[in-house]
Amino acid sequence: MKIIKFTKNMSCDDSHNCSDNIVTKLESKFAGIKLMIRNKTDTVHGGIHIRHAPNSHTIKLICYEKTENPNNDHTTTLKKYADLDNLTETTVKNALK
Amino acid sequence: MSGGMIKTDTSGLADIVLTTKGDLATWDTERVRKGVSATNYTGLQADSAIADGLTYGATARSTLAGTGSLLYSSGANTLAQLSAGTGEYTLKMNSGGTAPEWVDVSAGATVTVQSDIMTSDETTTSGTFSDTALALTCQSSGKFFATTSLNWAISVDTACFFRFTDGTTDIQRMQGDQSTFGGRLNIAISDTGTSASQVVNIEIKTSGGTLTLYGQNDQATSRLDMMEVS
Repeated sequence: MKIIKFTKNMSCDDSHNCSDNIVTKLESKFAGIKLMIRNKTDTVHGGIHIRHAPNSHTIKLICYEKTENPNNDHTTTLKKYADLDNLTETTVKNALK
Repeated sequence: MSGGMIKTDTSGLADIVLTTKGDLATWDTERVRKGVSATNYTGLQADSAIADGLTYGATARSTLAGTGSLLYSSGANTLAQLSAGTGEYTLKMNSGGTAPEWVDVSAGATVTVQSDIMTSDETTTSGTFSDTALALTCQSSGKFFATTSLNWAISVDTACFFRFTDGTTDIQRMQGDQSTFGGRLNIAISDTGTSASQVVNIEIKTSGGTLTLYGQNDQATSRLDMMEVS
């Protein structure tokens, strides 16, 4: 699993909307990436974990490096993102500007 | 003559048998003198092993020599004294279970309580477990009870998962779903470790949508508590 973790100077009033906005931005900037399970049988490339501290959001991008089919632990398919090498702290930070 | 001595007894007169203050006249096969004990406060006790059936032995009064002393048995038919303990000490049996002793109760168990209260919300869209800010480290004994109260919500009709770990190993999982949307979840574990640096923490994942763990709602902040005994 590849994890990109960094802090961003930002604040929010609604953590759920804040998370959705960040997921939307990343999914629009990195073609084809899926970072949220929308249906139980989706194929996803990872997820976003955010600690919404005022003026200091900690953002952790979790990316799968191996394909993992549905099993007892999850109904989704976990898949490596095709352009995983292009996912770096710098490119992710730029995508969120 | 007091004590009902019989002047006509063939073994002799009591005033001849008795020679010393405290002497008694008794009988084995004839009238004999029972010399008084040389030790103050001892008492006359029946003893079939003695020719005249009587012996002087320890009593509570002869055994207890100090204020606050306690009387106990150090063996069969044997009196012993436990001298008074130091102020505020507590009475307990010794490690061999053979005699009482005084111990300092201040040397008893220490209970330490730690709490980790979330101050910010956390969200995840990850389908694999990811650690949260809720984490505590056992300080000394490795013997603890930990409990957590999680206030959470999930955005779609799917399941979310909470995992209690000892830092690395899955200890307990709980699952929530849309039917308990926005609910408060309480889970508890009791674990005994051997490491003073034992960590317990909460990890979360979702099987759909965004899982929010609330940390800035004063009414329902998520928290982790640990009570440790050392």
